Amino acid sequence: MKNLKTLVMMQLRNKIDFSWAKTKMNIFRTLLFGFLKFAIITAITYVVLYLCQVIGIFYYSESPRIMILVVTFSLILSLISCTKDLMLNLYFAEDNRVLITFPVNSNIIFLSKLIVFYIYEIKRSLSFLIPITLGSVILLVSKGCASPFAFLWMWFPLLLIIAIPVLLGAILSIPTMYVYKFFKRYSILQVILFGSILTLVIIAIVRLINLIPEKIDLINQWPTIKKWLYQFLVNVEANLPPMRFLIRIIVGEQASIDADCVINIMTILKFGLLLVIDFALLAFVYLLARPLFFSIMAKNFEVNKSRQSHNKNVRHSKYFTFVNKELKINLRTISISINYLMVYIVVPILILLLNALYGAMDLKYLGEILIFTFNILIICLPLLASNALVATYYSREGKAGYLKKVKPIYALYPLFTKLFFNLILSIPTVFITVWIFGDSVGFNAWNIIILGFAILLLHYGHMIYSALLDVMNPQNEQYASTGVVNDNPNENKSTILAFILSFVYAVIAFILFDESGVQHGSYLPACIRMLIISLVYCTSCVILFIKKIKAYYYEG
Amino acid sequence: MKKSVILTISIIYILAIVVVGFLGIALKVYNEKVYVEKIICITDGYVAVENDEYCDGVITVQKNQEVVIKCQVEPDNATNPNLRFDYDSDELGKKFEFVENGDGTCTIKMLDSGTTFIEIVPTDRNSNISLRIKITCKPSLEDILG
Repeated sequence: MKNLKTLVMMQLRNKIDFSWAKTKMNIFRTLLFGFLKFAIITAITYVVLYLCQVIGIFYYSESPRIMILVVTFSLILSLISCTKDLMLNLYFAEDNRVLITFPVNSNIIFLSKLIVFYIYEIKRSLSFLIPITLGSVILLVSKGCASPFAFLWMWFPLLLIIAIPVLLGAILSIPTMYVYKFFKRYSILQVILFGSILTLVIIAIVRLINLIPEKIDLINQWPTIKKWLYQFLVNVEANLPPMRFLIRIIVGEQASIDADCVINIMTILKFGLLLVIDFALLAFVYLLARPLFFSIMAKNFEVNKSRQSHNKNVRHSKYFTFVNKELKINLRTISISINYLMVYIVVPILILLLNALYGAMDLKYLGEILIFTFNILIICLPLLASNALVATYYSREGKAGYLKKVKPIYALYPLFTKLFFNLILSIPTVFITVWIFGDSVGFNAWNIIILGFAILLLHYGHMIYSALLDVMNPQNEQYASTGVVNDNPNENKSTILAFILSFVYAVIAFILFDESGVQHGSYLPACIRMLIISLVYCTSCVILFIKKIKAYYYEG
Repeated sequence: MKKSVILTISIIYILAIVVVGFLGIALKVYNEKVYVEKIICITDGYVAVENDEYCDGVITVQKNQEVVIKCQVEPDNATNPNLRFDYDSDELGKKFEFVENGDGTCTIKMLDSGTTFIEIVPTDRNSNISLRIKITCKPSLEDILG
């Protein structure tokens, strides 16, 4: 047991950043911020559900049905991420080579990996599943539909529910691992599969656009939409009995027709059944995944040899060498290439669908300005949020990252080359997206070009700042030991900044377009001002990057 | 991209459609008044009854069991879709308890075995229709055995 605890703590330290636990003040600050974040998400959930009930989207007694929808969505996403992460952590983690040498029972290593993942999943749930469930329970209790005891009770089933995607993910990680190995071996199949999925998505979106009615009038069609939403929730509940089972364990049994939830003996029995299901899954994982885990771990440790390249070395110029290296890394790291391709292809499709919907609406002046604002927001959000990956670029090199300091070239060059393909690939995406948006709202060519450059410069500025975050707070050790860092502080900071920047930029766009439309009858002045703002932001980020690199690499 | 980021962007995307759909739509003035033509009860356990001169449907409940009566109106574009719940006030507190929930629904709790009627009427005054629901509470085994 002591060994298990040591192993768990050791791996947790790699997986979760505990640097805040050094001083009491830091612990207090981190806990306070964590609690505030939790409270804000809970409050937002409560307010959204309450408002939905006030404006008549659904009756308050429908809250459990909403919970079924949200929890299903959350568990599906958790299952996908758990399967992928567990596959990497169990069968491909670098720390396996170290763990196998420890003088502990081999089963304990396997269990410690699962426990670490479960604890991490609980931590992740604190920012989505748990506060959303709590917000829904608060609504039910405040409306007298559930007893206040539900506040105390809900935590027990939630702990068991969170274990389900972890255990199912451990089982599914086995076939996923074989598929992953297969695709890694025949990389052309990866490209074909990705291309097929992408084609299917595009076909689905085009069909969806064709389904959009000629006229959309949400105000007058509201009762019909309300009925459709109600029927949708009823169908979700009817078609997902296991999810209904889980939600009834959290909020209690339906005591009356379409109303109150009561935690009774039936709830306790269902809770017991959930406990049995969890243990059965754990036993299944133990019997199925553990032997495979050891065979792969031992194989990696004992016989796995790196493949030697038989290609003759070619001498390139020292500048081209880095470009060539980055090209190979980008093409070979499927997570990086898919992430970028997804964002760069999905953003124009999202904008096409959004504007097809807007096109069916009969709008007033405010509506037009809102369309500009939301288009800019929806373009910027995924584009800038994708830069979170840039905030991990240098750390992903692991221990090789430290070699940058000894390379016989000005440090800025290899650092900038890392961003090269991202900088190039985003140009067509941004301009195609802005062209789709501009064309649907009747912008002229100048407006489209200037707005395209404005968004591109904003994207570049944020990308360079994200890269700087990684340079200033490197996570190379974590990547070197596990290969994956799930709670990278630089990634989080970059994502938060992406949201703040996008919202601020959208608000500025709203003000400028409104003013420009009223005063000049043309949107060109607004586009020029937005370009100036982006230019200032991008230039300041570049200067900051250069100055910090100089300080970090040469003056430090 | 993280799960929470994808989810947040999806929510903002939907909000972008809803906000423009509500705040940006050009206002239209309709002179035509559309009256409620039909009331449909969507409560679980509601059974529609045909050719009964006393009621249009039945809901069977247990003693002290609460039931939320939810209804929808047709056509969807009715100018005033609000509903009123009428009942025999002499029976209130003796046979059943009644609470209007404020969200267009009401909750009824049968205190004893027997039947009671709830009539649901549109508040637009011009619709000449209503939905009469019979709430039946069967006696429990304990009541029968005394």
